[in-house]
Amino acid sequence: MTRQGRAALLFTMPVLLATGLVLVVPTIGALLLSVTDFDIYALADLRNLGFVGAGNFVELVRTPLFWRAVANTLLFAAIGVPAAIGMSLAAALLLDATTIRWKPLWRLLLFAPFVSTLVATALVWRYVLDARTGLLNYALSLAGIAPVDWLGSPRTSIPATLLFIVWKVFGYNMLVFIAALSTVPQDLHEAARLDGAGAWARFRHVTLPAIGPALLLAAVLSVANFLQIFTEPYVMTHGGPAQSTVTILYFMFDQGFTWWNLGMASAVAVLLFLAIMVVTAVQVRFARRYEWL
Amino acid sequence: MLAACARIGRSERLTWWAIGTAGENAPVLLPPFERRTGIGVDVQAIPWTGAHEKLLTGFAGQSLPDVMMVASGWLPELALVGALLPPPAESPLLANQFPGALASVTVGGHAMAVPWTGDSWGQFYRRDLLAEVDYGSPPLDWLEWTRMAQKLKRRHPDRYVTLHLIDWPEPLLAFAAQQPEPLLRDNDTRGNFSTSGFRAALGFYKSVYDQHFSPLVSGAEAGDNYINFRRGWMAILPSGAVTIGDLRRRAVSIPPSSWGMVATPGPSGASRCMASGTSLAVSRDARDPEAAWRLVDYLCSAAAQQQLFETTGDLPARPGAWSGRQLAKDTVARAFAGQIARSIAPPAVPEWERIKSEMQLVAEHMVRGEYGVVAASIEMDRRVDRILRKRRALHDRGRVA
Repeated sequence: MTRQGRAALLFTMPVLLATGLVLVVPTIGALLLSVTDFDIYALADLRNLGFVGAGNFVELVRTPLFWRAVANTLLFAAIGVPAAIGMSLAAALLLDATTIRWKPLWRLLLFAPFVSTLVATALVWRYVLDARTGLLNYALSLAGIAPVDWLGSPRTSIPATLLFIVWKVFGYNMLVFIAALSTVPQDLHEAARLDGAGAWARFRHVTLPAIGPALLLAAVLSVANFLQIFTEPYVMTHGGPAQSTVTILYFMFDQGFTWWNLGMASAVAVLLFLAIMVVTAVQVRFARRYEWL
Repeated sequence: MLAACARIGRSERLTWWAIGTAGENAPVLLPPFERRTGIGVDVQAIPWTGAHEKLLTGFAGQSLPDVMMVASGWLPELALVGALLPPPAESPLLANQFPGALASVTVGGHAMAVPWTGDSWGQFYRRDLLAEVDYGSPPLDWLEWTRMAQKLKRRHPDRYVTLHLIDWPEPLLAFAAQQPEPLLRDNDTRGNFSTSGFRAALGFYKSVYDQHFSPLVSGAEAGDNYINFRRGWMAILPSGAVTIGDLRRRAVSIPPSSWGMVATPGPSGASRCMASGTSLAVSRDARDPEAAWRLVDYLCSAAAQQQLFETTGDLPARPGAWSGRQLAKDTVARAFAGQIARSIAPPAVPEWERIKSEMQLVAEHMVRGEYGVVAASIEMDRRVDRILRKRRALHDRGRVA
């Protein structure tokens, strides 16, 4: 090994060690756990631990609540990702407009939800969404719309929770998009305008290609984040009503940390890991085709 | 070195995890103990919603405190994993206890903790609202109770008679405890929900929703129970002993003369109830078990329990502590005392929490119209049998008692 190589290894070693210790080892541990029936009896006496092979996965596939959790999570992601990214992009475009004044103030206000405490804001939103005394229903009543039991009805619980989540997270991608937008050369816009391109054509052919990589990054991270939603339903609804907001991670948490079924919980983690990997791979392929990477 | 100092500083103090209002008010209880013994106590107050998980993760992370307050129903789990140091069999702390309370801390024939607060499930009611339909207090048998509820509902169709939170298993368990069959069978390795007794209880539970006597809401949606109670949203608030203290602290808005409390109705009058109190356990890793037991001993003393009752409304589990003057003449507390004395212990299996939660989920689906009573009881058996599968296998191999 050359001297440079040794130096490089020396510098990267701490990170590699830390990654190995806190990421690779636990992941392998979870893989191993997922093929056992590790539960409270095994925790009490390791002789009660059994190898079950694919047993946990078979059991999972047969558990209706797991599929419910998968469906709920997909619903969260299917509505949440476009809504959050759309909201971020819209806010970024607005803040990028030359006619807007006090930009730093708006940026700060719009970014504030992202850095505020999740549990505290979730509690506030629970008040806002309250069926009888909530601000949202009050506002709707002014428009003559009957009160909606936002968090109490299985039909509205996911949209209501998403309302909060989107409000909470859109600020981050907004900042990323603002940064990306500032790299779009102004002369390109002017040239397009001279060629007779309308607002939509300019957005589609000038702005979008320029912020493509940022958009891809946001999409990949958002999908991964939305597939791992846990805290929001945990604080707002405890998975209810009628388990309509139980997500995959919530299901895993319940199995592992409420009921001690660590084998089963690990099986869920492995499946989620594979799912996120596949989705990300598809997104990257898609991005390559459009030459965003 | 700082860390070392912190460790030395801490090791002289006991740590105690206390749950709910008892935890919030623990600092009021402790000064006499600290003065008398010179032992400092660090209390950590934990809300009920996260307490079970916190204990389990505390065990897994080897960070359990010296003394912990636990719902007695969690003892089988904690005992199974060896988190507890059982009190000595001849300990005076275990003498003079109600049989139901003692049974609720007994796992595999050994008491694993000391019963601390006794609880039951009763009906807190608004005297004025019941008087409107000529009832002095809610009837104690299901038939007459339903009659009263119908009258109340006719009088105020937009309000409710009672409040059964859909994510709380207590109302259903309170009805189920009144029937003779146990909830698990075959040495606690299978569900026993398809008995006629349990189905009757489930049927009554369902009828409360079917006739709109209770709103179909979860705890998170219902908001503050006491504000709802004061506004007359429901005439009866079924709850545990903690409500005594909660209502008395709100004496300005809910005068003590405006409400009363009676037992949960049963098929033919109120009878037994499910022991649902808390107990005090000492961790197996306690640094100074002797000091830990002294704290338990102090907290179970008549004086401390009297003070706890005055601040939170939590009732003592042992008959001896009921001698305190205020407790002895408190009529609401006496109503609870009668129930605590007649309480039965829930099945002592580590899966009980999960079984309860699964039972309530099926009940929720039933109330929302997915199952009838019979189908729901069969579904409960099916799900519970699945939860108990490993216990059955271990039992067949003779590995669990």
